[in-house]
Amino acid sequence: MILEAKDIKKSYGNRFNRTEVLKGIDMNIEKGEFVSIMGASGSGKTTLLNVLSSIDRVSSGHIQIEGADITQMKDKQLAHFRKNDLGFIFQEYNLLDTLTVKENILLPLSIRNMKKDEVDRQFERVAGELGIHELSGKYPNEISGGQQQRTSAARAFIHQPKIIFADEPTGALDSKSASNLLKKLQQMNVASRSTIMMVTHDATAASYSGRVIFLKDGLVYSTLRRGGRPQEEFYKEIMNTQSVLGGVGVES
Amino acid sequence: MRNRMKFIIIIVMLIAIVLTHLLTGTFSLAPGDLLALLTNQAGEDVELVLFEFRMPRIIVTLVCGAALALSGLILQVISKNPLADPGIIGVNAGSGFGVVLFIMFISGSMSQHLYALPLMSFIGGLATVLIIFFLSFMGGTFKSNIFILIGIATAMGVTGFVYVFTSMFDETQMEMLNRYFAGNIWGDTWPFVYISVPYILIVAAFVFFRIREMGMLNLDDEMLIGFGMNVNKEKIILIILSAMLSSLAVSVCGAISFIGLIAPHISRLLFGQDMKVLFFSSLLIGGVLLTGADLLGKLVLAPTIIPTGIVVALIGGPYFLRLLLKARQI
Ligand SMILES: Nc1ncnc2c1ncn2[C@@H]1O[C@H](COP(=O)(O)OP(=O)(O)O)[C@@H](O)[C@H]1O
Ligand SMILES: [Mg+2]
Repeated sequence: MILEAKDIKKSYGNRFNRTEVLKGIDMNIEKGEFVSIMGASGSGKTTLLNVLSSIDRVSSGHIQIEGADITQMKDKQLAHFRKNDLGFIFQEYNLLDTLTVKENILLPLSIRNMKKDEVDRQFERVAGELGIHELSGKYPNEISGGQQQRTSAARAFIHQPKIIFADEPTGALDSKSASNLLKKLQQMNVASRSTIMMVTHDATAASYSGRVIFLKDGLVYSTLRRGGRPQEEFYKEIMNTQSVLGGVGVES
Repeated sequence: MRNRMKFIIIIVMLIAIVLTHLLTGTFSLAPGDLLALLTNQAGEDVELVLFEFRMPRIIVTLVCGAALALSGLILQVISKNPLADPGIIGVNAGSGFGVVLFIMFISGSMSQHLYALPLMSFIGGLATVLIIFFLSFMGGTFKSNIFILIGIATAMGVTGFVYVFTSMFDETQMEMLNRYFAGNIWGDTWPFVYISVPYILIVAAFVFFRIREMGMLNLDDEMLIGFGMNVNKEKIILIILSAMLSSLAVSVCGAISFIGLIAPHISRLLFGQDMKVLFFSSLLIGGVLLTGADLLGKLVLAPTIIPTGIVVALIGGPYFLRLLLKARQI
């Protein structure tokens, strides 16, 4: 088990005006899994991802990552943990316009002291797997949105994190670039046994993963597993659950 | 290479402004006098004018212009808002409040308490920025979109306080305060150079070592937190450095606005987004702008001198409005 969440709750606001966004979520993620989180807009997907990835703190409950309880860690410890063990992809590509694709990808490594040949080795690895080589000297504004998001994904994988957290990574992409990116994520998931946790409101995107967790009103509503089924079949089941759940797919 | 050319042009402009400054004024000099000075053959009156009157004023305006520009650049990076400026968000008002307290409780003239005045002005400016910053931190995260608005509101509040106090001022006290708010370069003698320039340079050096972080702050906070960066700490450090730069500058220069807005803006237009280049170009352009404004103020209505802050405001105000209308956001 790489991640174990127990009864996590998260509320926003002050004493007089609180909204409970997560109302007690339990979750177990195995090492090497590719999990999607779905749910209507405002159902707390981003909030869940943020607390699981320690970007935000829980109001109560416990989250263990490889046995270490991150809800008990000090800020400094957490920062260290995120830097070494986690990778992030967001809907916005978050690339620096002043750096080349390669420099952007190496950003997480530039914060630590890593030998140059090791840096190059890591870059070769992700660049090869994500098909970045021909882009590496270009600047973000010279490449397409899909290529930018692949750059962003390469940056998330560069330091071989234990878990990748992705919040709507395909949200700004057309369907072709989206499926291209998802195929790459799937390959990375298999090839490097990295665990991926992805928030999405798109059933097609979710069908690339091995398990889909549906949120509703701050609780886990249901879970679907792909098993050995073809992607098409899994997609249909996701669509069915979505329509039962209602209100999904219209993200503002 | 094109960048180098632009830098050379800016430096040439700066040299031209500095030379014109040295040679013009109530006591005008010829280029030959400068040469004579270099070869130690100048008359005593020439030496007096250049060394005791013009040089310190040029150094103060040059360095303070650079400091205001860097301060503005930092604020813009932190707030992710290109309209941020130390003057607009209340450094001047806060410093002014320090000046008011000085006039009220210490002295109505600055001759006896040379250092107390800049010190109070510095503390007032710094305190105001810190208040604004902590107000924008409410709820745990720094909300850059309301940072500027909180700044403007605080500036107005503090200015209100200033006027409450001034109702008790007599004429000389009032005149002194007006000198501050008009942005008269009042600290134009060597002692002011010594109490401001070294500190500004030291703070700027600290900023230099955070250029990397400043560049990275262009990314979303979540991403930076994901990288393991302590974003709030980084912002607090930078905002303190920025507040120190601008309040040091206005404590010897008087209330000068807009330099912190315009200099980084022109820098971006000329040089793009590279933070290291922006750091140096903002410093240079800030220096050019303030020495240039000071020169204009001296020459346009000569022998009458227009306060430098007024010249800057006359140019900076419309510039700010134009940016505001173009951006349609605060
Ligand atoms: N920082 C915050 N402060 C207050 N309320 C928040 C905050 N972040 C999210 N919320 C609220 O929590 C709910 C869930 O938000 P979010 O997790 O972003 O949903 P999703 O990603 O599923 O669209 C929403 O109603 C949102 O308004
Ligand atoms: Mg969301």
